[in-house]
Amino acid sequence: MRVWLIWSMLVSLPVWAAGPDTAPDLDHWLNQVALAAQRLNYDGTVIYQYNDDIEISHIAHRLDRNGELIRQDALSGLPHSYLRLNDGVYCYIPQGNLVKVERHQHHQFFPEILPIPATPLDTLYILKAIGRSQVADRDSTGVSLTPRDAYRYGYVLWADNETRLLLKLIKLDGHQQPVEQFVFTQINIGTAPKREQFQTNLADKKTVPIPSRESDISSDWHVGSLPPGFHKMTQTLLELPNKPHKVLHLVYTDGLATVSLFIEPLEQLGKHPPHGLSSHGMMSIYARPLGDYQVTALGEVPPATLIMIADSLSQTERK
Amino acid sequence: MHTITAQLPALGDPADTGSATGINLSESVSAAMDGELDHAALRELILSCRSNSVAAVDWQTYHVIGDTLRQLPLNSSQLSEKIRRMVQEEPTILAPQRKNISRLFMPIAASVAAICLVSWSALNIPTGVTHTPVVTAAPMEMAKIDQTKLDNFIAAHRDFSPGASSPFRDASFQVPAEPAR
Repeated sequence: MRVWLIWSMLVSLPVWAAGPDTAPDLDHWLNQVALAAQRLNYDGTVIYQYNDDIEISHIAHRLDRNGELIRQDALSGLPHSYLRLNDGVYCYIPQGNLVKVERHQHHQFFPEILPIPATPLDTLYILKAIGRSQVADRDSTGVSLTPRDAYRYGYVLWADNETRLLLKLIKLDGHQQPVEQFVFTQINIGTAPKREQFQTNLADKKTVPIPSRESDISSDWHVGSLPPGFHKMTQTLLELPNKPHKVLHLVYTDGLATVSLFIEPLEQLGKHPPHGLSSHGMMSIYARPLGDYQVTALGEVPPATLIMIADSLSQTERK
Repeated sequence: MHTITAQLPALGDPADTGSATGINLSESVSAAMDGELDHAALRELILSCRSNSVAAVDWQTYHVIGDTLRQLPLNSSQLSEKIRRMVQEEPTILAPQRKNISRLFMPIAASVAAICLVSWSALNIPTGVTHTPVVTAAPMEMAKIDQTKLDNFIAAHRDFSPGASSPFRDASFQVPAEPAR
């Protein structure tokens, strides 16, 4: 009798131990993490690390009846700050003592990096609980997102157990090695940062309004084959310095990985437009001429993703 | 004898059951019972009994056996009463444990391994979205892309790529040079 009791306990042990590791639980966890960064009040110090490069910044996030307020100040290097009020982004740039004012809803920074809902990521990445640890002095759970195919890179997320706020993001390369990370070193969650904290002394600075570029542009460009999970996020027309013609910017995303396609008339690139593949850290770049146009694809994805998208691009015949 | 029992460690302490010195200690206990140990050896044994519950159990067991053989009433012995109570509370402690554990452990370990294998296989069923892209593009000319000319593209890309990098990186590229003066 006693033996059977022990036996049945041991038999059920692997099932019980796998509990928080099962897919529905991790999907739920991922959704909570996606929502927490948007809905919680928090105030903390973030370290961004890339190779030997380290940047320290302070992030304050407040959600009240007027909407979402985010302020991010660089604590290392030149004074530099971002202020976001709902979809308006004010960026103080030390070079030239300027304030850039921009309106669009896609400006998202750590820890607001997950799509809402985050559930579709489960079909593209294998979610796996990797353990518990302390991040910024808070009990946290780590989950790895390993790509199910070779069209994207992996991530490791660490979120606070109590509030599900993302405290650490590690970006992995194609060999699953950490390349870049964002981590809170200190954080206060739950107390709304005072409104005064979001007041700036930018009033005397020269403002550079950047008009909303997300107009409905009718684009006759069509991508024939997209890697699994990717969809078009937006398209805009860019006016860039030293370019007489506007550049069409198409953005594709799988929710985490993002690819940009830039299409411009071949004539504004000189006699030898670039053709080929290049990489820049985790950033891959692929350029090719297509008819009278030059196509440049780039993103923090494996080169295969860019080649697939850019090579299947076609322009429908104008009538 | 009674003073020794009072200082014996609690029975059922699992930390030191089945130690390698158990057999030697049992022999020493037996020798002590027969009055064959000298003062120093007896002292050593008593110290061992304090730290080793196997020896302590042997000590008590031998005394109970001795008492029984001499037909002394067990109830009159404080020691036997203690043993009886402990036997009631911990019925398995006097059973030969090593044999039982191995007999139980092997099939359990085997079934745990089997279940792990099954769960692992179940969790790793191919999901159908797995593709291995075949990069058919010709060898690329790496040098021809001048990245400095792409700074504006990279900055524009980062605007739409959450967590692509620190927001302070390349922020100045996003400002059109002296616009609409």
